[in-house]
Amino acid sequence: MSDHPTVPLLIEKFGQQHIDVREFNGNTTVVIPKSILVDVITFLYNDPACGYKQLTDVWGVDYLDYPEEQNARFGVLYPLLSIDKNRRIIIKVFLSEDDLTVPTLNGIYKGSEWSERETAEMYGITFEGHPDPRRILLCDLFEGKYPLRKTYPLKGQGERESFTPITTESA
Amino acid sequence: MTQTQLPPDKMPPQEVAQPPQMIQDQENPDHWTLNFGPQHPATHTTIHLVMKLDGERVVDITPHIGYLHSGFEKLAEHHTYDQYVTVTDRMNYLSPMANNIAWHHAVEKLLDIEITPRCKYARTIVAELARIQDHLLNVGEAALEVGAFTAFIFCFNDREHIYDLFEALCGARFTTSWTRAGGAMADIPDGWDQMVLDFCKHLPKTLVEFRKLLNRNRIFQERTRNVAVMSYEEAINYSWTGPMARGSGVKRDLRKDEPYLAYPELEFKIPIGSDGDVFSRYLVRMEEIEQSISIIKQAVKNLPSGPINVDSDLRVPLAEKTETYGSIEGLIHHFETVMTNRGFHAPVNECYGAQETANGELGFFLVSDGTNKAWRAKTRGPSFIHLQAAARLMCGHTISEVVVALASMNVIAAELDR
Repeated sequence: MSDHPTVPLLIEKFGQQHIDVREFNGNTTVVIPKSILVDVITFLYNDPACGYKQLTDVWGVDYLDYPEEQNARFGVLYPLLSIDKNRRIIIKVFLSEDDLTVPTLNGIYKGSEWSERETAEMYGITFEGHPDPRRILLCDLFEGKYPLRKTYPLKGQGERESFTPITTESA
Repeated sequence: MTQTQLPPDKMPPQEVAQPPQMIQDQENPDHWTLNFGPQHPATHTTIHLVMKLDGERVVDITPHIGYLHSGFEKLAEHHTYDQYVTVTDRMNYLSPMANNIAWHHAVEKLLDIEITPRCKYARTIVAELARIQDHLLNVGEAALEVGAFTAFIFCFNDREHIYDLFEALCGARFTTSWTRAGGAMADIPDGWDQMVLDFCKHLPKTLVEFRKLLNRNRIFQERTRNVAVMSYEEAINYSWTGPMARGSGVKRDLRKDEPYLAYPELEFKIPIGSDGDVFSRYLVRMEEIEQSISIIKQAVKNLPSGPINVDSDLRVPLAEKTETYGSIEGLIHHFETVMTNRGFHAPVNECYGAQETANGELGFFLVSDGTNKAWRAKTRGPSFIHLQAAARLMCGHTISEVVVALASMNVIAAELDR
């Protein structure tokens, strides 16, 4: 189905039923269940035939009312890169609204730290075991608000108007 | 009139001028906390570093970012693919053209459009000019941070020439927005290629002078060698790309590894550093400028003729002006393209397109819902990824070395915070 050389290795290791491969314009996306995420990433990192030593970024997507049926509302994508073999693969997990947690990859890739923090504050996804789970781009007025969710309006919810200037006492 | 003295408990609280805020650590009295930024000349933009200092040496460092967060990714979900290019100008403002080209590279990958040979070469020339523009400021900044102001002015002088070239190309010096899906806003004007060649002739003279000032300068070497060293494995593990990774010896350049535009047809080399320190990154950037000049010369020499936009049957580019004014079909096509509720529609799918910009890998992850707007447009900006390693890089150095390390990372806050 897919001629990406890593896909057969994943199917052999984790079984056909857990691996859902999608191809589009040169991108290979592998959808896996959340429960085996860390196992899959560790395998891809350590296996000499894979050698995915770099995590490019972490992307979150909100699929609320998306025209095509998806497994769950939120998707988290991990694009991996093998520098030696010059290959990319995207690992994707789906998160439903009642369980917005996913294990952190910071133990494997140090470069996931800020990207995970950004995804966490933009979508309200909790990265379990993250060493520094503070917010990163937004201020405290966004407590409980997740701007990149589709339910959040473009013009905001009045954060700009209710912004209080910081004084020496309040700092 | 005599002034009555109030008793001490009735006195209004006196305004005492606050000394610069340094907070002593309660557990370790030798450690003091210093706020560096968000408004500080050495951060160049708005980055806030909270440093714990032991004397002048940094014990711990916590970067606070987000001062320039403007919700670009939310905006992308409400703009059409061609409208959003104006926002990408504002990301890495040292080389706005490179952002334009990278954005439309991702859009064209989503739409599966093959651009014309002339457009490929034109975009290659412009992307390399943008790379020179970015690197010139960065090596100048590396010099500025150690006190060599002359070198900085040399670089700025040549950046002005590049702005002139961009102005001649698209009318804007800074917020260029030159690319369009399937082509460009306008073709290369007459005589522009000669202007580019003149610039390529002039620039090496500056670089020679620049090298004379810095490369064997003892002060510059002592300030930059063995500062902010990153090893090969760590550079990969921290997701570094571009000159930052290549300074640590990582052999990775998307122009060679995932060829795009006209790069497979041109000859150039990828400089790799070995030490992984600030000096190594400076050398990589200087050599990349040389290589870019060579690429531009080759591309101008081989610039194909023909249209810059893809065939208008695809309904992606605007119709030719003669068509718009001359035929009813052309006029309809024009309005179909520019009206925000029409435009071209992307397939329902998701894709990632990345290019090698001056700073590293600049990629856009696009999710499309089949309309003319992106469902999600995530920017993979190199500044954001590189600054994660700030604590790893800067701990153990003095404050003056932190400034040098920060300049070598080339962090642009607008791209960092988006």
